Amino acid sequence: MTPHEMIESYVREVARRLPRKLRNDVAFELRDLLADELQAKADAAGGPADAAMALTLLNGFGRPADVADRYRPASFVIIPASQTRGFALTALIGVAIQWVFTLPTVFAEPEAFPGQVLTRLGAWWTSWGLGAFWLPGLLVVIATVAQGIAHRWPRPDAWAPPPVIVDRNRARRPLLLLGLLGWALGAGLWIAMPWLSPHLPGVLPRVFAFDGAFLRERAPWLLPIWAGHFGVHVAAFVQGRWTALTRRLGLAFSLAISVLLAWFIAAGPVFAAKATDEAAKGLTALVVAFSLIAAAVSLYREQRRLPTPRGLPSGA
Amino acid sequence: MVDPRPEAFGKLEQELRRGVVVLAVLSQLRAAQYGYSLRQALAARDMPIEEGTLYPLLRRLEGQGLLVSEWRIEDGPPRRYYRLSPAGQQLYRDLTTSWGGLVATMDKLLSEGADQ
Repeated sequence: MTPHEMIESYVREVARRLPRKLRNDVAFELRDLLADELQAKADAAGGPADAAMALTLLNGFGRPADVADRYRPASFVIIPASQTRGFALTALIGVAIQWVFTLPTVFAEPEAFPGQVLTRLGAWWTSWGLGAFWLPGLLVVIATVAQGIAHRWPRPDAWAPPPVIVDRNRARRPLLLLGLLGWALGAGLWIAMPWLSPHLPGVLPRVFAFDGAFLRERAPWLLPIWAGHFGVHVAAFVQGRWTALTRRLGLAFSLAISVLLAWFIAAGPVFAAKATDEAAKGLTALVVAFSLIAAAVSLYREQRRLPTPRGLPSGA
Repeated sequence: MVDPRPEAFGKLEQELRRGVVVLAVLSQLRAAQYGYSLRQALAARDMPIEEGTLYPLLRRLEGQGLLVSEWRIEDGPPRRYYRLSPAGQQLYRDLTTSWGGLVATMDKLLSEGADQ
């Protein structure tokens, strides 16, 4: 390839990445400028221009894609630097959670014929596996629309304080009381269920009969963790504030409950009737998913929490 | 021979130079020049700018209304000549004033630093 053919090829690479209205004009100018630069190099070397000289010149000029970017006016950024980490974590964790809850189904039942797991894995990949990427896609679309709006109608530069200062350490007592009553009612029903269900009318005793092994081996573990979680919320209700200790204990108990519920789902039947068991496990899986997301959000907020300045009511 | 200067020197010096590239270019475009002659003029005044940076910059400044350009044929192939637009001339005056103030401030800061 001659030096001028190299320049021609390079200019074409740059030009095809430029807006149509700029393309021909920039290509025409760039071709001549590069020819001038090459001639200057050849004159300095005291000989004719060669391919190696042209390659050095073009590599010094930059990759065609980068050069084309430099010709374009600055555009808006889709994910600003301050949101990159949060975006990446939300996208990755979101995909991971969907995979964690759907991938085990591939291995849940034994193979009916050799290679069935691979077939199931293929089916999983083309459904839930790839399907989980809806979340990063949605996040990108939302970010693009949001940044497009911010670019078109920029917000004023001046910072304004929020109309209401939110004290994140204050325990909202009415809400807490409602939550505690709900918890107590739920726990009471759960504990009373084995004794209540035989007295239900019609087929309901059979529908809501617990699995014997579940009641003996797994169910008892729920009570102390549930009680601990309840106790933490009672403490926050009494004090009227969340402290660093109660926040962390609450988070630990929430995580423990999620792990325990996941164990309930994985370790065997909860209800004796198959249909009830499947429905209950489906609902429990949803509860676990939401609890894990809530725990991840709390953990993230906990890490970003600024220390309270001296003289102000402390959350620590 | 090992360069005794800290590793960051090259990058930070490049940042300093990058900050004045636009003003340097505007200073040379009070009279019309084409890309290559402008680069030569800047290099001759100890302000070398990489061609991959300079040529796209001319287009961007034109896009912002700070330069005007036209194709001319003078002893050779057609070339695109750039010069300051009225808005570019005003910007050049404003930036020159800012630059003067900045140099004075930095001189003061650096001479104070040298005294300590």
